[in-house]
Amino acid sequence: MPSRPTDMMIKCLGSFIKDGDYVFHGLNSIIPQLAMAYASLYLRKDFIWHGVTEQFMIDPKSFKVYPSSGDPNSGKDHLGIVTMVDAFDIASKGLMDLMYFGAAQIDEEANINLSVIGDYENPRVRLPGGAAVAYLYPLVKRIIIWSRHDPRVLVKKVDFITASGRRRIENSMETLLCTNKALIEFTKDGPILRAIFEGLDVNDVISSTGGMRINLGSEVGVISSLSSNELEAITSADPDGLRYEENYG
Amino acid sequence: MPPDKLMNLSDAIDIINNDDEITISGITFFRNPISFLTAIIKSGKKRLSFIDREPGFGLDMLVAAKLLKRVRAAMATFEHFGLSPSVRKGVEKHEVEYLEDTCGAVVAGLRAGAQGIPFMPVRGILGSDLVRIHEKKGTWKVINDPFTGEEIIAVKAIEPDVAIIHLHMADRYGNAVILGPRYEDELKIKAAKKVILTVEKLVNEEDLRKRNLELLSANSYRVEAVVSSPNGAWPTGMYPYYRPQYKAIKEYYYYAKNGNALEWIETNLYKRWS
Repeated sequence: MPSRPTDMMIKCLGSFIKDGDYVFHGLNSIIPQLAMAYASLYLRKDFIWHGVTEQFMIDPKSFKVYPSSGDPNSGKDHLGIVTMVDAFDIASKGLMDLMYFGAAQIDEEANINLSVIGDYENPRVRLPGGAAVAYLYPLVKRIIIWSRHDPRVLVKKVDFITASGRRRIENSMETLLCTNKALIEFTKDGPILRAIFEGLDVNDVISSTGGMRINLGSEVGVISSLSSNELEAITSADPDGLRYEENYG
Repeated sequence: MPPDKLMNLSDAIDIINNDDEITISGITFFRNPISFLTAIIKSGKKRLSFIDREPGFGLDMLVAAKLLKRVRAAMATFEHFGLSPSVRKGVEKHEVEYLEDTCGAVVAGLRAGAQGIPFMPVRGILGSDLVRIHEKKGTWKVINDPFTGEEIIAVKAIEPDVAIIHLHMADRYGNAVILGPRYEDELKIKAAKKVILTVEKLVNEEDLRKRNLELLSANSYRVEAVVSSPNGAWPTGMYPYYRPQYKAIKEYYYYAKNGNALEWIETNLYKRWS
């Protein structure tokens, strides 16, 4: 049976964590938290796990997500508290390796909108705001964005640039987008399809955008369904299935 | 001995004036000073401004009660449950002015405020449309590094009139300890013109002497009022004392989404700390 798109996304996001990385997540980030759990509990990656809970973790034995990604009850065997303020300083010095960001809209230049749909002064929808994204997007070495593969999200040009992708692309800083259908890399030649989820059709994937033109890579990989062990690692961190309530399928 | 700062909630409310800019402790569903915010709502204070980095429950209550004329925050969210319901409605209906910020800039502004300097440079951000918005408001400015000429954002010092900080323990003079996550609360304490502490446990000096290897997150020199308020963060969490009550937060969310936030506040909060 093919895996649910939510679990495929988590696997895709988690697969970018390398040994020795300093990885950070923000608020409203159940999917990235589970990607970190997947990388730690299943892939056995040896990385610094830090986030808005301010708990500094290395090789946690267990982890559980809650409706807030800032819930300090998530990880019990942290080494101590390292503040968000300290994490921002680490990023400012260019020392943060990997971070995940969501997007309400993302465009061909990897600009992220988390601020408003419509005009800033007269918004049709006032979104939650970008939190740290405007600040950290130009600073963190590798960034993986997660979003729905939806015409409203994957657009030619965002309504409002909360965080600018231009400098990341110009400076060849790794910037990827993992949707609930595919993995896309932002390059100087525009967005390039790197992989699709098992069972999906390439043409369906690249045509289901709201104007974002996605080019085909020289090879398009396939992200395979999860094994029972992979799914078990993720479920151990989300026994209540909160991830499926995030509307990624 | 420093002056005794111990007060009850109703006396401490008088420290806040109409039109003040306030900031509060914690993030979305953690360590919000809910007992104090409930007392502000009851008091009928008016035209307050609110500044914070990643608020959630506490901010939504104040917007629902129509106490705020202006909000400045990097993110206002109910996380897994959805958008901050009253904030969204208030901004879309132009009932409250909203200035979106970004975390690094809020921290930089508070750092400048804490140090008594006019501004603080901060990396990142350039290219964001937020720059245009903040330059218009006069809160950020793109400047050139005087040494290298590189463009960088200067954030004007943030010095809220009052910081309301809920924390784990304090003595009656305002010497206080936060356990676990601190967020940027210690900067808020240093940057604000006045500081009100609401505390889970009122302790004496001997209690503090026994644990004197810990950081004092606030000290008597900076604090205007100490209010004893056990369970004062409810329904937000107070790690490690008590967990956030997600069921209650979710219930509030749906009340607020349907325009009934005040009914929920009156039913669930008004008598809790009386």
